[in-house]
Amino acid sequence: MNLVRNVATRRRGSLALVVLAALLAWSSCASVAPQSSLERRAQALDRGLICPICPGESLDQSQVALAKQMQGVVREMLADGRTEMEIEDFFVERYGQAVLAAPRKEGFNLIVWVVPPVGALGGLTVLLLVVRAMVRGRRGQEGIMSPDAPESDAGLARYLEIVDRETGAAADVGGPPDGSGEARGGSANG
Amino acid sequence: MADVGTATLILALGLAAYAAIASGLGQWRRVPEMVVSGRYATYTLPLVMGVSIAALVAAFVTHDFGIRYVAGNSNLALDPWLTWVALYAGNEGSLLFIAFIFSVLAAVAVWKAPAGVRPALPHTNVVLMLILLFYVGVMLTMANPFFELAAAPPDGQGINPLLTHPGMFLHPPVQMAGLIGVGIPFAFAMGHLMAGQPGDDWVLVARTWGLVVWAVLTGGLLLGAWWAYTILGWGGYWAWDPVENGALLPWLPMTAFIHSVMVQRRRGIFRMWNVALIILAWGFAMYGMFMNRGGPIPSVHSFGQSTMGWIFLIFLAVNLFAAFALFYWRYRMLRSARPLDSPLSREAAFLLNNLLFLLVAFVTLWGVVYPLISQAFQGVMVTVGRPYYDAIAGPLFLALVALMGVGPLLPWRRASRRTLARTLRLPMGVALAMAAALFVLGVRSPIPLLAFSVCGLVAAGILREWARGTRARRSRSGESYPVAFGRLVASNRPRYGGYIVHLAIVMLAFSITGSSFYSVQRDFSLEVGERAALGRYEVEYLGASTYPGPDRLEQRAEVQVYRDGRPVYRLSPGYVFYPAFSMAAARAGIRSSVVEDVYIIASEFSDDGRAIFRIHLNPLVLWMWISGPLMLVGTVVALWPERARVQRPTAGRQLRERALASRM
Repeated sequence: MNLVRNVATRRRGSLALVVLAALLAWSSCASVAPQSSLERRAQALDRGLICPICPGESLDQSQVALAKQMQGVVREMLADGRTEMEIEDFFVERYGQAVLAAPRKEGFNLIVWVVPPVGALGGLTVLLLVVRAMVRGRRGQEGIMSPDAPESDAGLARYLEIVDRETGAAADVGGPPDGSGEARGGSANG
Repeated sequence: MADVGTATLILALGLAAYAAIASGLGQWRRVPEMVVSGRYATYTLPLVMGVSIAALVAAFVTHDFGIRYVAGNSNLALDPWLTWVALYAGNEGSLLFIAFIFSVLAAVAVWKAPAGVRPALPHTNVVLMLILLFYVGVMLTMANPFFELAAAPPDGQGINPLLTHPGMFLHPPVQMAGLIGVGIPFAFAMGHLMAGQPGDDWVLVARTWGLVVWAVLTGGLLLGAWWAYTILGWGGYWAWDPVENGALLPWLPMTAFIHSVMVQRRRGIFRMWNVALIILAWGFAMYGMFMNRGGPIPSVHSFGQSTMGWIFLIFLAVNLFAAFALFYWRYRMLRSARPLDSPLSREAAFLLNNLLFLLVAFVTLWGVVYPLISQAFQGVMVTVGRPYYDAIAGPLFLALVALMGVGPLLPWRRASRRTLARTLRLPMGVALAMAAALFVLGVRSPIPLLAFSVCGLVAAGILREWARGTRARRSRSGESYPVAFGRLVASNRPRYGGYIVHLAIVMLAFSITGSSFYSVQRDFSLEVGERAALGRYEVEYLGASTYPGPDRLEQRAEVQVYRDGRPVYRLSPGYVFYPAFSMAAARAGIRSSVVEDVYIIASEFSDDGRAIFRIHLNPLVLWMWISGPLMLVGTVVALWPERARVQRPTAGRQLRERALASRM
């Protein structure tokens, strides 16, 4: 009875938390009316262009007059019907490639974008192979000394008793004693 | 004053050299008296460096403009409180500050070294003193804070206006302390390798110092983000600027390190990983300090004109070379006896953790270095900025947060798939419920949806642990919930401290997701009395005022903010002009709530009485600032020493776990 009630309380509690968190996230994110798509595109471009005379600041970050001017030009060109690509090319022509906040995914600069995912995949593959080798090595070591489950519960209970006595488990006040239900690993030191 | 300062630096140089030689020679020739003498020399250094710092402070307070550093970073109009900031505002002063902090940390590290690392302590002392020697040497030869001008000017230049913000009282010293602090666990690692005795004793000191340094580094990063948000005026907190990356880079292997040493402590494996991680952290820390002093890539953070970056690069190279040489020499000592039991275990999760952090470091470094590669191979300068990092580092960070949720649920050694599935059921359920709820409420973009759900997953896992543990205590002892929880935390401080820090990270991730994807901004040009609307807010321009000061001119606009039509509060965004520096610092009007920040910048005041405002609505930013102190609390809890209890043999604990696990 207690168990059922506890489970129900737990479920209600977690549900309440979910609803609260979701409401918080939503209320902060959905409270603004959508801006004109032109302004949104302009702001995206602002973030994608670097102010040429500032040390690495994008147009939306920089406070200098040139950056404001460039922002104005961006909006004008968008209103004229130019595409993002054309506007970017316009600035690259005048200030060089460094005016783009990140290199285009073409030509030599493709390697900027390709190397990280390739590296990540490579790393993960190596990790998997290493783990597999380690585990296989372990299995090879074990041989006769199989550490797996003792046959009967009675045997296990006696086993645990000995362990409890030896380790003074009566002093154990740490960690979730619920551990009998799950294999949670040691109680101390996480 | 200048003489006192320079004299103490020379004395410090001598003492550090003596300490290094005495410790090294004493250890080599087995002369215990020399070793002890070297140790005592280490203890005297904080006092000597303290006098040095005091001399510089005195120079500032007495307006001794004969000293070039004082003239360059202060003036007669300087607010006395700002003397603290002026101390480290420039290159030379910051070097003195770093050297002082390091001398204190080194002395404490040596003094409080636990018995297990005593055999290796002389070696550690040598490394510590050599590092200090470098900094004092650089100061005496290239960047003397006490350098005197031929003739003292009547007034100084004054402090950089961007530094007059409260965040600047904390961010640079904390950040610098964090960066140089990495040297302490590094020195212990090198000492351990040099001493050549196999064993895991150095893990205890590695964990303690690692956690302390990690907390300081995290604090430095968050304080920097807070400063950038409130003073730079663009409404953001992180720009993937090369110097910011320089501060992030050591943090990544450091975080991996503090987790990975847990595994070494418990299972005696990952020894090589841990040495490699701390070497990498130290390498990145020195790189960070190099970037700040004349790196090849420009940044808002650099000390600008300094051209001494190259000496730091050489120091970095020497350190890395020596460290890896030691690593290679003692390779055999580091080999692990016991490998992994199962790919589904906490050890394997920590391995993945290490890999992910290294990958983030790699992609960050790649982004920093690529412009140089492009310059070398294409002859074209490119910028690698936010779009790259958002696309590449973002998913890796998200994977790390997810791992942070799943990892602690995995048992050591081996997890049965069935148990794992059962443990994951609630967190996954919460994550899916959150995703569904958010989708229904209008959040349609896949990435924020995923990110919020992952946050929910992790938070659910942590809170469930807390609820379970508290409930179990209550059922045994009948305590009230708060008391039971408090005692629960106290009974297992490393674990619950870790949970608190993880919860803080979830808040951080929550905040970053909200503000990255859902920030909106709009520019308005307003006359007095005119209103502008953005979302459910309206902003009315009430008027502007000018406040002249001795070395500045402040212009502020008064605005009234309305929410849903009702007036709620007033803000005063404005600008402060500093003619001496021909620089203007923005003062944003910010109002934070747990839901969102209203952030207003007044960027132009034209003669016809109009003003241009940029209004930002930044969701969830407050959670980032909340997470900072919470992380500190968690670290303190994790480090709080426990009463000496009966040392249970690890083998017994492992047997018990294994017995329980095999029941499944």
